[in-house]
Amino acid sequence: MAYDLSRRTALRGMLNGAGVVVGVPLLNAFLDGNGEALAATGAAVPVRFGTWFWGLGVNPNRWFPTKPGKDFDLPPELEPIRPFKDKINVFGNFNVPLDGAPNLPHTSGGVAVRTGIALTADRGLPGQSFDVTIGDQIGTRSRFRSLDVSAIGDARNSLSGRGGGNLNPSEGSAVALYQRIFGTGFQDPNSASFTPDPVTMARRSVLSGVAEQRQALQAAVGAEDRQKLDQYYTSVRQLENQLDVQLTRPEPLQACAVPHGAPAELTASGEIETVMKNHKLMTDLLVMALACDQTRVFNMMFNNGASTLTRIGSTITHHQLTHEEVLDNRLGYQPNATYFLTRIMEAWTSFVAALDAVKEGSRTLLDNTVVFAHSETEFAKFHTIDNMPMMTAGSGGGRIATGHYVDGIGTPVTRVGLTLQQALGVPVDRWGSKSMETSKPIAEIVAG
Amino acid sequence: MKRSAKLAAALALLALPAAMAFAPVGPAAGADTAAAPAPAQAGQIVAMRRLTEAQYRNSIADIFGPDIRVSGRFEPIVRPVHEMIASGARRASISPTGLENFDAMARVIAAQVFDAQHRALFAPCAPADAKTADDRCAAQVLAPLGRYLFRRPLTLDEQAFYVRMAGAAAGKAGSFDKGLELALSAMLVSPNFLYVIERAEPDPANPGQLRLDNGTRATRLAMMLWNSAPNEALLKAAAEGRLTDQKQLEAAAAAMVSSPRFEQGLRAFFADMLLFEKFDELAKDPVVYPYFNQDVAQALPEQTLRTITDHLLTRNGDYRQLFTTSHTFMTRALGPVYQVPVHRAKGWEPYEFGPRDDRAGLIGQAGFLSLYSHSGRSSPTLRGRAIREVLMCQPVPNPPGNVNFTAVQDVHNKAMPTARIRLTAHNTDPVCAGCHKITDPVGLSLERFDGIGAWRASENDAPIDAGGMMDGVKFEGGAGLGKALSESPDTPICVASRALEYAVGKPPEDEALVERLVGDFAGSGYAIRALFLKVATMPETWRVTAPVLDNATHVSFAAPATMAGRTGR
Amino acid sequence: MTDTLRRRFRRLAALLPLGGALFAIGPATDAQQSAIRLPDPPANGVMGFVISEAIPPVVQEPTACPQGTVLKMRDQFLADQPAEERARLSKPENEAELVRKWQATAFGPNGTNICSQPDLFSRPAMRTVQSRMAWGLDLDKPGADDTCEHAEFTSPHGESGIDNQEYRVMGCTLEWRGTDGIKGDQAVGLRQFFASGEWTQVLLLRGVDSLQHDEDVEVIYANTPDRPVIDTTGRFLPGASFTISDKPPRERNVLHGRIDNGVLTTTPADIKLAQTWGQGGARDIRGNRTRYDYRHGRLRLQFQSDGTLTGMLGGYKPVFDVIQSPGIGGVGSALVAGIDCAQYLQTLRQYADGVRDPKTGKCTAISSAVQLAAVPAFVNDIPAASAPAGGRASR
Repeated sequence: MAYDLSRRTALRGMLNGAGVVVGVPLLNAFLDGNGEALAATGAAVPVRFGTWFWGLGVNPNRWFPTKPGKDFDLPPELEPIRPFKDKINVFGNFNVPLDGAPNLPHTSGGVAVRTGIALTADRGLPGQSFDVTIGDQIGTRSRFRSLDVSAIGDARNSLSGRGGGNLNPSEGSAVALYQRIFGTGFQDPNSASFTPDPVTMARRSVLSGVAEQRQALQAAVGAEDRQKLDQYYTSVRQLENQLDVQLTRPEPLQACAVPHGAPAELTASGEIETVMKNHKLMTDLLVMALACDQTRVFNMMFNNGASTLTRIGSTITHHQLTHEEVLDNRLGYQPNATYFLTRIMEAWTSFVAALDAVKEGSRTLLDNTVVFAHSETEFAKFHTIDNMPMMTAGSGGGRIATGHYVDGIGTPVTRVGLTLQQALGVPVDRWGSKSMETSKPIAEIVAG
Repeated sequence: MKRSAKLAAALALLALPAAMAFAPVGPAAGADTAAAPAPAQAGQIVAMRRLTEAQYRNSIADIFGPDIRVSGRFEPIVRPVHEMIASGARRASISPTGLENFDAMARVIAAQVFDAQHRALFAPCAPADAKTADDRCAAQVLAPLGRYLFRRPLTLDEQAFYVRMAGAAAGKAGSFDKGLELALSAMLVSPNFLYVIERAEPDPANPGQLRLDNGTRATRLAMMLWNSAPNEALLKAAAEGRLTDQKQLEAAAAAMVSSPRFEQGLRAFFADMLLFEKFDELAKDPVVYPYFNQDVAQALPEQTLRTITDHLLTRNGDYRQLFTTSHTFMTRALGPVYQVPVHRAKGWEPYEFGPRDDRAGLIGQAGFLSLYSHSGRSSPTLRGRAIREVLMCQPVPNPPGNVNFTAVQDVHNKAMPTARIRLTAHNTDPVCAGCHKITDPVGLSLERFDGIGAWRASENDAPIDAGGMMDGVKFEGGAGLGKALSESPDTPICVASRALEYAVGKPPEDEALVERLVGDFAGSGYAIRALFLKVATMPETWRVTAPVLDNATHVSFAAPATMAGRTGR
Repeated sequence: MTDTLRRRFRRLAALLPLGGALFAIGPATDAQQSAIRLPDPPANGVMGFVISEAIPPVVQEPTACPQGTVLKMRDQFLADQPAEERARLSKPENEAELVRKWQATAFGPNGTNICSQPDLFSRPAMRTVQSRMAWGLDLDKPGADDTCEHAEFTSPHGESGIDNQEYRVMGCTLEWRGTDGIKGDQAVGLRQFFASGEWTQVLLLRGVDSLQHDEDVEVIYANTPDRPVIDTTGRFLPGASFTISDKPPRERNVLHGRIDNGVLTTTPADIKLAQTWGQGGARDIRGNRTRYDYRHGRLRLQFQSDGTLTGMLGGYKPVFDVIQSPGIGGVGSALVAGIDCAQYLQTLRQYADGVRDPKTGKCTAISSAVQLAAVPAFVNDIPAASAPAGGRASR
């Protein structure tokens, strides 16, 4: 092929502008998701967000998949999630750079995951945890802004709060949790009166205002700009429709079935079987609180960071084991400490299963929820916090793509928090502090 | 109308230097008349250019102060093939997601502007009752803000509309400030803010032709040279009709390119010309390139921009020497990639390469070298193509669809240890050879830099031959290529043509105009300030051909998305 | 193998035996050294390194701890009981009683405990290293007059006169030795702290004329707050820049040494290093309280042909320094990790062999060794002290 690169050609090369309006797809993942939800129930189904925390990390070489992408493998300690693999994402190689701040054992890691900030003092949260930020976005209209529970029964077992050193306390008793949700003050959502949200109404009026200006511009534009203006106003109209749906009385919540009475009281204990039972009771209550739209945000703490879980007949704690039990370099893990990890992964899978068992139209409650699960260390013996184990379950009404193992290649852990905030509508383009600041969401799991 | 101290101070910072105190030609007008009846908008719209993310952010910071947080995601503007994002902006529409994001950002900004900490800075009056509407006071707050946001005085209708909106909301919310907040949100999602709307008027010098009007000129100067909204001085000059006067236009533009704020404008221009959006997607195989990490990725575009502004502005250098300069800047993150010492633990420090480093200007930097490489290997073809297309504005055809790349991709084949050998094997296919002849001899001169721009003397233990050739001229290594580029007539033509495209929002169609511009550029010793000053003041760039007016009165909305959504899956 | 798989594999590999290479740190014989081809030093004679590994070396051989590793507090408590009582307490139904009883041994009167106030407790003797083989340096050869009587070790390379009584005392603890015959948790953990950048040390050499022989080299051994640059497997990458800090908690030691046959040896001097890893909380934020202090300390480092350094740091450590980490951990160290700080301290005192107190005649410090590895780096000295060092020979 002859290719003349004379100066003239260069100039002609530059002068090849052809006026084409660049088409932008009218439909995006967000609307698509809602569109489907609308088709199913006739009204918008609320999206929910929650966290599920476990303490003391994993055995890295027996938990993290090796193959990034959709077709990821399940090493022995991740095996319990198999039935829900397609609805779960696993995250590996996301790091927690502390910029010289101390790695406070069992504290710095979890706090960094939730706030994007390295702790410098021993207690509380240095900034707002992102579950609270998401709650401010999606949880303002339900009875509880958030329900925070601890299966191990410890009120201080929490990673949620507005910062300044405070923590939202966790509810440790299933009976008290029942009373809180379904006791005095509970109103059957299907018989409650409907008040449109004043903030949504205000947003709606802003858009009407924008629409009114159309005529003035329309009169003065040429054909090319006219197309752009049409697309702009189509977008305005779509956003108006979206808000109109939110201003309309919702359809009855078909999945809402109020439990008959409180569960039997359990004696609080760190014994793993008791904690599993308490977790089950609390999960069932939480699931109904979500189905009955009493809350749209929750925090479930399975155990605590320096886990006080024990086994029947032994008082040696999970935490003690991670430190005391020697790492056999041939085996590559600690068998006794690992027993607890296996049970924890079973509990996590049962939590996901409980959400998935509730039908909401053509989807399940899990499909309309994003649950973010994480620990506070990678490998507890050495308090390592890089390569923090994390997962998400559920697609948040079509906002999150699932079934991926994402390899973070050493990027900061805050990318997960940023992605989830953005997916749930928080207007944020960068999040985290110092080396943990990021503006790069995880493209693989953003639905679209 | 009295503006608050803070707003005045903020605007004083933006005010043009004293040199730009041109004589008024019309009746004195300015901020004080903002609420007065505005001139009728007879102007025909000849272009609507969507604000870029940087222009949006800079506008908000300039108008409301840098402490007002802008947080949200911006719908990216699509770059048309071989063109600039500035041209894409002229064609960019706003999708539903894009609008939703703009709406969310608007609410966050408006809430901050009228919060307890800031409201006094923007509200020069107090309402009769803080719990209810006060139209007079609302007008005093909203008219000046609207003028900065829309880059022209609000029309009477617009002003009345926003005052009405604030009043209605104040009544409902029981708060005068909440009303203002809502009206400001509405302005921030208006197409009058989100688009730079360019309007034309009859050109007295060319009967029957149009020229851009004063308001449009103020905005174009501000966006082109400072990448932000026009400041008080420009809006005032526009209101007084001074920007259609050639002498005064030249004085205004000259002051702007001499201002420190021109650096912000120049950075935006080069980020556009050099395709910096590609840095967002830059990723390397960590096993092949352990030195590449997030800190490195973030530092690369900044190193290039610092080199550019240092050479072109601080040193007032010849544009062509951007391809030969040995001066650059280092930071701790980049030190290991270049294997050079970095003194400061934080921030940037000047660095000068030695002659044996073979790092010539922009093409010797890890930014360029890694951007135009694959994730696990260097690419003489990508580098050669980028030099042709990005730096010389010479489009190279795309490869045909059915090419067998096996030979070039297998970097571990001991029989073909270097890229030169692999490409030679690949190019036995005559279908490929035609284009590779254009790109590869250029890119092969940079083969001593690997896929992240780190130095290497050999590949697979075979010594690297860094001989290169461009348009018949043979040379050696990066230094040779840099010299060839600096001597090529196409590099200054390319940047001049891009500057023109950047200003107007579409690639130049008038060859003679580009030639004249390049002539002047050469006359200035290839000084970038002179180039931008020329582009900003050439009467040709302010002339427009009248578009066909679309006078349809009936407007039909597209089907609502929710309905479309049902059939979408 | 995918990249991740490869990485994961390496992560695992890091836990597996390192073979002889890890311990090829003894003094090279002339014959060995001549096999190593060393490049010329940079023209300005300045070289920088960042320490990638600093671990107390353990000789993994069966005769070292014939009785097994040191008993944890719970096991020690059981061992101290008469056989019948031991059998009774070991039954699962008596678990709670056993825990109550062994944990009680960690507490003293008035809220004291065995790790915060180890001096108050008198404990049974602990298991010490029984073999004669240890890594380390000969610290007391040239006229050390403030030492106490001690038995010396021979290195696995056959070098006699090795002083490392710290290893004698600590070498049978589970943390040092591990159970698998490969390495203890301490080695794995310290490696992590280095890779994470919690604890970065640098070396700055000045006046290097030859890597083979040089009679006078200045050696600055210091802490830096800067993080190392590592790859995804935790390997240190050469060519990063660091700045030395002498601001508390960090330390800067100026030493002098000579190079013989490619081995750099420094003249004995006190070496202080902040310990900035591991400790957290209000008790001790990153080394504000903790430091390592090597009296009569010295470095012996061997230049390698790939530009790296390997070798040993030796010196006499004040006995309490050895247990300061569990000491700061307080009663948690005893209850959670089963560490008997009083027993350790008592035994350390018994074997202390250096820095004799003229008043009491007793030694207050114990001979100690740390195995070092370092990669080339650009090291900036504290401000006012000269230009940065070229980490590698220039092209």
